[in-house]
Amino acid sequence: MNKVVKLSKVVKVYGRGKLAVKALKGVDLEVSEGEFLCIMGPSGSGKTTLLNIIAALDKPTSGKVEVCGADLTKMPEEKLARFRVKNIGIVFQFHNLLPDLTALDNVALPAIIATGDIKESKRKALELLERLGLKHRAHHKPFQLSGGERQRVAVARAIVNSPKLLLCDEPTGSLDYKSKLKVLELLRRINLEKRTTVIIVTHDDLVAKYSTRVLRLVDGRIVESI
Amino acid sequence: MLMLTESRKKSIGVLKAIGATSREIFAVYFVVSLVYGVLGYVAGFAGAIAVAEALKEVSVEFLSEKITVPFILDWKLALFSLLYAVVVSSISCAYSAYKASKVNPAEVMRFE
Repeated sequence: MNKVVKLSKVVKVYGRGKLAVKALKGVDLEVSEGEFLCIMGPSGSGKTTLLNIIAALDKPTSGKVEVCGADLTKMPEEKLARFRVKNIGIVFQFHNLLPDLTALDNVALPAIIATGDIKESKRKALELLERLGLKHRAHHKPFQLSGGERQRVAVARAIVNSPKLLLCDEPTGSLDYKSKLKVLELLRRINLEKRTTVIIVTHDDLVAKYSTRVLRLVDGRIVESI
Repeated sequence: MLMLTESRKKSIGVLKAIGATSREIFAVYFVVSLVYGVLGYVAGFAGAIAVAEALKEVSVEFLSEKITVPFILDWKLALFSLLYAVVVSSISCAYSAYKASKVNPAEVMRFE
């Protein structure tokens, strides 16, 4: 099966000298196409750092990072941004929708960046919001939406360019139980319908129930594969 | 503009995370800052003309002598100050746009 993510001996150190903190201590990880992987671990275990490195938002201190067959450690920044917009969707814990834009414009934005076609991007975004049952909220701004709706809009924004890889950082962290279920069911649906590879980092046990594989990260190392 | 960049750090981080390049962020912030700079000049210039038209001249008495200062619109000087405003705005806008383009998305999105 195709490997969408391949990490070998990834180390990430923040700071220098005596103040240096080793966030990742030689992580090896392979994720196949269509997997729904959950990476669990306590706060400060390196989950977000790992996700940021896979998303090419951060560079490892050493080691190799391959995503969709491309070596991200050797890619210049401008190319990385283009690579990200086409291949990787990211959902953050705190939705991070742009406050001045409507739900529709937030969802359309990555498509506009990728193609430059505003009309087609908005059409695609509206179609996506309709599929997710959020069409009636298309022209609302983030502050007018509930927490669950905001997070579903954030998921829509992450998948508007049909990425091969969807990365989620604590996507249910700030939600109530009902909204959590809705978001997780939506992520599973995307994973099954489009064979989008999903990687979620969380310390929410509920997420593990939706996953095809669960890994545990402790103190910068993957210690257990369930 | 630096204050605007600082307050918009998170939005800039989001734009970069969803695929905008540093060059695009720089271009957007540079153009927006420049538009603000020119609009500021235009508003100031319009205000100055309105005040000049209303007052025509200013007279003050100094040591029992009346001194009159007329308002004269010098278009050459106005054009020069526009160019000056554009140049000064461009330099300061380039700096704030550069700061915006260097925002690290991984850092700014870690905390709410």
